[in-house]
Amino acid sequence: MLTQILINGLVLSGSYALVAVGLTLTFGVMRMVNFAEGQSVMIGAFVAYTTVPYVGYVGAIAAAMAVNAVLGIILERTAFRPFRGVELNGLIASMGMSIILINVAELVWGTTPRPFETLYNETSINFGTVGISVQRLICVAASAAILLGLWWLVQYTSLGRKFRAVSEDHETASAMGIDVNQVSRLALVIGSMMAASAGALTGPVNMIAPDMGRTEMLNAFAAIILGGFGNVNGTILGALLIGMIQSLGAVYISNAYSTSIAFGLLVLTLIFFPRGLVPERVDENV
Amino acid sequence: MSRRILLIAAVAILAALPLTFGTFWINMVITALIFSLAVFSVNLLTGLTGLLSFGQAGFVGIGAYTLGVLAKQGHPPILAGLYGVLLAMLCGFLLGLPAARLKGHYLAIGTLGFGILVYQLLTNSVEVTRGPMGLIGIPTGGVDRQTWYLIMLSVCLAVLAALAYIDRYSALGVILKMVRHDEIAAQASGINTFAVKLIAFTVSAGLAGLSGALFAAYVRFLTPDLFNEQESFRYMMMAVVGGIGSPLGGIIASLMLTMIPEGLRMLGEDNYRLLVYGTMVLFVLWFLPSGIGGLIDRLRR
Repeated sequence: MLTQILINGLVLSGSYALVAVGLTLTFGVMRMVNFAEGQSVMIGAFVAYTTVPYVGYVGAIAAAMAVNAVLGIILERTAFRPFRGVELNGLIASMGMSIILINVAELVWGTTPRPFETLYNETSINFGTVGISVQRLICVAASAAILLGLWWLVQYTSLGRKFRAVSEDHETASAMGIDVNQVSRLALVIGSMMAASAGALTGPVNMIAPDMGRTEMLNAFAAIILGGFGNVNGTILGALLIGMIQSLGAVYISNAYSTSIAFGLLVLTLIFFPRGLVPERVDENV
Repeated sequence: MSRRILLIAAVAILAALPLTFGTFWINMVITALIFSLAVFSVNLLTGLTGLLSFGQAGFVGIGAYTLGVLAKQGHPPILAGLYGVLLAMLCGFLLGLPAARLKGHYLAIGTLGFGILVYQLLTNSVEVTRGPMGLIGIPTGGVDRQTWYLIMLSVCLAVLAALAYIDRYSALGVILKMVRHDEIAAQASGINTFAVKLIAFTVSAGLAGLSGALFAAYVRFLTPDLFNEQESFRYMMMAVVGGIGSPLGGIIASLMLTMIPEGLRMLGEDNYRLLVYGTMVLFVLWFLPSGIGGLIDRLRR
């Protein structure tokens, strides 16, 4: 029982963390919230679902990430670059894109939820008395690997240094010769690709449907706020917390309340810690 | 003087308009006017005071369900509606207590959380709200569509006038805008910004609750899905497309964003309607960054 709760919690946490870290990365670099990130998850899941019979599961994940990289570029052009500095308009524009993406997906794949079958869904490994499907284990391992990869990218590569420089102070960064537009585009592309991997990894565990991005994104938001906006480590911590508590809640309370649990926790946290558990540094002009 | 005559003429035309409409369109206009009350609540909170809220649909839902549940228990609808508005205001006040201390995105997601909690409560407390099965047949007297249109028109114009008055002529308007532009300067000038934000939350929640109560009374059928976070996003979209600080733009935007996609419904396929909707929002933002209200201001000058 405990192993099952733990693994389910980790599966949830992993996908929330992938989505939330993508959001945090874009937010850090551009100071804008990408409300279409949930739809990137959905598109990723559907692309993987469509390509899996031809290229296998690993190939499908790669295909989903490739398509979403293009989607990231489109999003940056339509919803982010025109609105730099006008935060609210950018927010609304990404909502507009999100409506467009959902409806395109409904036209292409229909509205009924579908099961996403892979080879790994059927086979399971036994831990003592409970069997855990290989798919869930892949989810956990792959999420951890991708997050680790992102951490390496942000800490040790020159692109990562650019990300950090732009999120610290984008004017100074651009004065130092960093192409802020390019860095923003890459942030969105990477965020979108992480969302795609979340969709392709958790799609087989749950059903996939054009409105699946909604709950995925809401939980990611809750994780981000718990962790503190723009803070990658805090965000991962927040995602772990929410995934685990939801997994516990699903067993001991009810599945119907899982989003309530996440947001109840969020509202409670905000009452006592108005800037999240790991507050971001904010400059205020006094 | 001539402006006053123009204004009176405009109102007279608006009041006479339904005589020329078919049932479909008048229905649409009434719904759009009801939505525009919720858009006003965003104008007040975000446009005037600078507080971002993604939980307005929660207040709309509270207003709507209070009227629905109480009217079905036999209370007179007007009284039930009043309770709905008051309950929404109370919730706005209670949400404001923690929310007035939050800033920017924390506020946005915190209020989003409130909206989701209300939605889940409406969905899961089946004994009271009948949950996803929906509250059907709310008894609200027999008022025909023409009268509804006139009621909604006068309510909207009254709120519009009140908001314009607060914005331009009242001390409260100056204080609200000061809190939006520079909170620290406002505090330094002796303004209790916490109290001001609390007032903004309460009044805005009341407006949203009124929108909900009127919706319940007009449509007489409620499901929790009408009040989920997508609806909050929609109000925010309408407000931004209308120009966030401009209630007049808000009313035009809610008419436009309700009627044009609905008009396209005749072409069939629901998805195309929403595609047009999303594309319209994007185009307005690209070419009119300050929304319809900004366009009106430019024309006025």
